[in-house]
Amino acid sequence: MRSSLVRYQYIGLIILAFFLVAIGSLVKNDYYLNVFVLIGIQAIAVLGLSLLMGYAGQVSLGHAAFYGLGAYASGILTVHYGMNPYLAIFCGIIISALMALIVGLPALRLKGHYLAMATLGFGIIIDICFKEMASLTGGPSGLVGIPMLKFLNFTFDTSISYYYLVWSIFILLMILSLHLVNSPFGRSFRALGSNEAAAQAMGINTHVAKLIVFIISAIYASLAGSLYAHFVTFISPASFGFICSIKMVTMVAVGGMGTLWGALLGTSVLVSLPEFLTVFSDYDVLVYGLILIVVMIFMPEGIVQASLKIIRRLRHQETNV
Amino acid sequence: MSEVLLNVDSISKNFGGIIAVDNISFDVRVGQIKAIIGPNGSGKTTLFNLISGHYQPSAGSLYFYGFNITKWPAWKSASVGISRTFQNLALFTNMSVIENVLMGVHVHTKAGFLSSIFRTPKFFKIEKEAREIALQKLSLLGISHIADKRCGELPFGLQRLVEMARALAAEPRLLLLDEPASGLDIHDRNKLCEIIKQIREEGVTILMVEHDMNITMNLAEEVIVLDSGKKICEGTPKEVQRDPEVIRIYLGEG
Repeated sequence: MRSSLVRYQYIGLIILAFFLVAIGSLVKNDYYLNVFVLIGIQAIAVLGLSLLMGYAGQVSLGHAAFYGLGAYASGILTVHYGMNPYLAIFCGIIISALMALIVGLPALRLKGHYLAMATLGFGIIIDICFKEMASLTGGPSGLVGIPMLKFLNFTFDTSISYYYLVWSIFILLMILSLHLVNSPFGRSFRALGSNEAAAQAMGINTHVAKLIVFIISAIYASLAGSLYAHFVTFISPASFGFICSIKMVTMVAVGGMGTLWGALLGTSVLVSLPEFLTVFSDYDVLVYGLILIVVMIFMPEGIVQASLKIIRRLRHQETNV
Repeated sequence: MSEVLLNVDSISKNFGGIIAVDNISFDVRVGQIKAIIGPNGSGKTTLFNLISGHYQPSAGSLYFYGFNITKWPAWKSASVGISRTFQNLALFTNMSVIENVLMGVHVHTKAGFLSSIFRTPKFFKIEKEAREIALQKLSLLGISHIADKRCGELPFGLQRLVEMARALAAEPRLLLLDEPASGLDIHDRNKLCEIIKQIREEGVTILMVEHDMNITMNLAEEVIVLDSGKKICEGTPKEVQRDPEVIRIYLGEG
């Protein structure tokens, strides 16, 4: 059953790929394409957070900081030091992973939600750094002139090319993540999220396991941040503040904990929702909040789990009839 | 007499001012079934948590095969062959039965991070072997038919068996069973006794906490009686049953 479940996930990925190609060839409006690019970028970061929250049961309230670290590493290293963008992305990943190690090492040693507190503080500190280290970051007014990504002679300077780049990376990471959660390694994350004492009794060093997931999630966020910086070519601290961290947590929760598809769904819904809500003009934030409340009341496990439950119930009825 | 597997040497545990386990010493020998009994709050589960490494002792030492494991965390003790079940069940409810049991095999699986995410042939080989061990443990306990069920959906008695299969999947040398019969009906209790005997036949040493006197007296070769964190007496079931101090605790002061 489980192996067929994994097979379903691959079918899901193929459907997703077709769907994405359809969007790519049908949508000609650059504005909407940009929205899809941003969904893809954000979804990469949320995928990592979903591993941390939905599987290892830990919450990070400062994930936008890792997203920002990736973006600023890309920005600063390419703009000020003329570094190769791909090398800059890699440096961002190393910096974020090291930061995650430093924050996570003491916080994850303790039981309970100390990581949430530690990352909350970390996020605020990093946000202040982005604003105050003006000589490097450009301060509150931001950093301009970040180069676009190039591959050989091809520059990813159109929305459509970047769209395919970002979503290819997303699908690749999705495959790796699915492999991860369905391996002994991933099972140990799920175990510690479910019952820490029992996980220890299975020989899992829960402290180290939590730290590894946290670092993985920081790497995803950093990569997403770099992709963002090379896409919009201009970054400012406003994109990486506390509210952005909260939004990412909300995306995981709305999409569904404990399922990687939830990360994609939650991100798609929450990023695109404001676009649809413009018809409510001044009241859009109000409607946005209302939808979130309704989702969390009626689908506390998130959209994916709720839909699966409905499908299971319908199937059950069929077999009963 | 066979070799000493576990040596508990004057171990104590305080929680603030409360002494939960007070200077307890005993040995568990290879191949034995040993039981710990005592009234509620006598420190049985605390003692278990000390042995499994979930608590660190305030004083005293633990030796496993002669190695000092006193300061070892639970995951490390588990990796050298101390497996346990929990009084209130600690299954991974978000996983299927077979996945739970696979977690038990986890101590022995050497699939690395990279071979996992890139699905190398080595990964499939290790996964297959682990699955075989898990299925074998499930069929030993007669529950291989529920391998793909989600743990949360199962009745309590079956969940107990799954937890035991998971503990066995680690191929432990010492199995700690914390009240394995609680919540089971008489039929399941009889079945449990057979299973525990069978596990011992496979060469696993068993230390158990159990309230059910029938089971304890039927299975255990040696019994330790605790009261208020202290060891009151230790001996064969017959000796223990005749001990005046034990009679006083269990039947009240006349």
